[in-house]
Amino acid sequence: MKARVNQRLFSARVFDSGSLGVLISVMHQFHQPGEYSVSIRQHGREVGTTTFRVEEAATASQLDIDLSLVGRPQRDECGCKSKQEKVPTVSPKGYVLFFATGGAGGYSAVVRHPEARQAAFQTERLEKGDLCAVSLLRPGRYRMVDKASGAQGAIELFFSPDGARKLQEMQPVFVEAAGREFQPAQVRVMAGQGLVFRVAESSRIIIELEKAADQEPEPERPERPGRPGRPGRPNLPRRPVIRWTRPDR
Amino acid sequence: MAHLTAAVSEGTFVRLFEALRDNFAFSKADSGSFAGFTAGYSVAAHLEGGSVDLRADNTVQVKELDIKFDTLDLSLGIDIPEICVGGFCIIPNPFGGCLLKAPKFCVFDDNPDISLTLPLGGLITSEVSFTGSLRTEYAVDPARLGWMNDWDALDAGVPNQWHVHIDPQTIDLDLFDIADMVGDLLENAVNLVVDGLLGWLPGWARDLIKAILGPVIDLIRAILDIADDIQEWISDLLNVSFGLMDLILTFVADYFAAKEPIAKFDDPLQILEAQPTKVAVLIPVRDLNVFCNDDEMVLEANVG
Repeated sequence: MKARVNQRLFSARVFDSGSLGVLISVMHQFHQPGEYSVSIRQHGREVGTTTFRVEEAATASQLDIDLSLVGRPQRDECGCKSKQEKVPTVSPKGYVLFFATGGAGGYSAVVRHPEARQAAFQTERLEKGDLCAVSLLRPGRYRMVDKASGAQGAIELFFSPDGARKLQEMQPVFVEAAGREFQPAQVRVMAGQGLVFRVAESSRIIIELEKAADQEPEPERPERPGRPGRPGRPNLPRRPVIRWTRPDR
Repeated sequence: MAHLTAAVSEGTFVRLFEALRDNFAFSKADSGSFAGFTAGYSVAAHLEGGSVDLRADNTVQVKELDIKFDTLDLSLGIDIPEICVGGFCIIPNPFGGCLLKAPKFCVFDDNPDISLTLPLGGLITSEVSFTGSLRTEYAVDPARLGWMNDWDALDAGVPNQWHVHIDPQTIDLDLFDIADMVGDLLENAVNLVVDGLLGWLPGWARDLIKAILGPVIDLIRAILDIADDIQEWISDLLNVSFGLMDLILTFVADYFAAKEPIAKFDDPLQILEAQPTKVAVLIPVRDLNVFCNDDEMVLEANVG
């Protein structure tokens, strides 16, 4: 048997809690019992649905929903469509995890309770008490940004062969996404080590590889005078400006 | 008293033996499934060296005949465990275990198979010694047709023959002596395979996966259940699990005792060649007996 390699694990550069791909996951607690419906979206378009139940009597403290699998029709070994599966349950004290182990990324989920008009949870907008976990692999310097509040910080991801061998025993590093700042704003984690954001206010966490450790250093360019970054906005790389000018009449 | 007596000196006997030894060729391949892995071998061997001694007690002693493995490829097929990141504990359970774990993201969609071949040919030596008696055997060429008389058979090159064999009574095979560098060979093979498996990945990803996997060689050793001594493990696999030693012993015994004679001559024996007007003169040989002493191999036979 030749196993296929999940190439996306090694090519991902941006990890967005609102647009889930590999290596990042978000977790939410649903306190109100009942059956919830989940609309799975990819780049905004619905690609599948699923349901789960929150029950007081449930013992499961965690329910995993792999968004990249839910959209696909499940088939059993004979290739037939599988029978209706039992609706999974989770305790109101437990967490429901949303993530995508494969696929092209861009996944999001909208969760609804039948008795509520508004969505109970949207992965695109994390709320107080939610968690966002990520396992970064490519050593280098990353920028972390909370798109909702404008908070930003930096992650230094290093690699050590000795450390990697003890990865399973390594505790994750926790960062508070508390409004306009990350606490701490600078973190140092090892490749593969867990990094968990505890969300204190509405947020959308984006982590982007700024400079890979294995990348050739770029030649330094003289800074252009008179173009300071705007306060409160992440200092994202400038895109080329395309300007349209009304033709003279 | 025998009508005919012929003797072969020990020196000539040694040269006959060397010719016999040099024609020896053994080849075999087999495979099997074991706990957690599959293995197979392909072997081709010949004989070299050794000493031959004709002894006064009517036996022939062959000592330290080297078994040279032209090919001894040992193939191993192993499932290496899944390689995943994530899965770390976010909320530990104060009473033990974990209440909330991050999802796992795995490098492969299933446990990858790896197969590697250890070319042990030049790294394993073994030798065989045996003591045997001399034995005669009457052989009828299967290609000889029923209507042929002795002259027809002689002309067709399919005469009956007397064969003299060395019939081993006891054979000693030294267990495989495996060079120390086999350990390096396994490690190199494993690294090569893993590099091949992850070959398309950038260097940093390969380093990371290898580090997560731990020393792959240790992992493979654990899967293969290799304790400390890889030489002993290989020797056990080949000798005990595959029974290669028994196969070689049997093959050596059959080769000398039944397959290839050390000497052979036609019956009837031609004593005068055919002339244009006369047929060849043949004398039938019966009751051939062979024995040896310290100095020579002696053949006795009756005529008629």
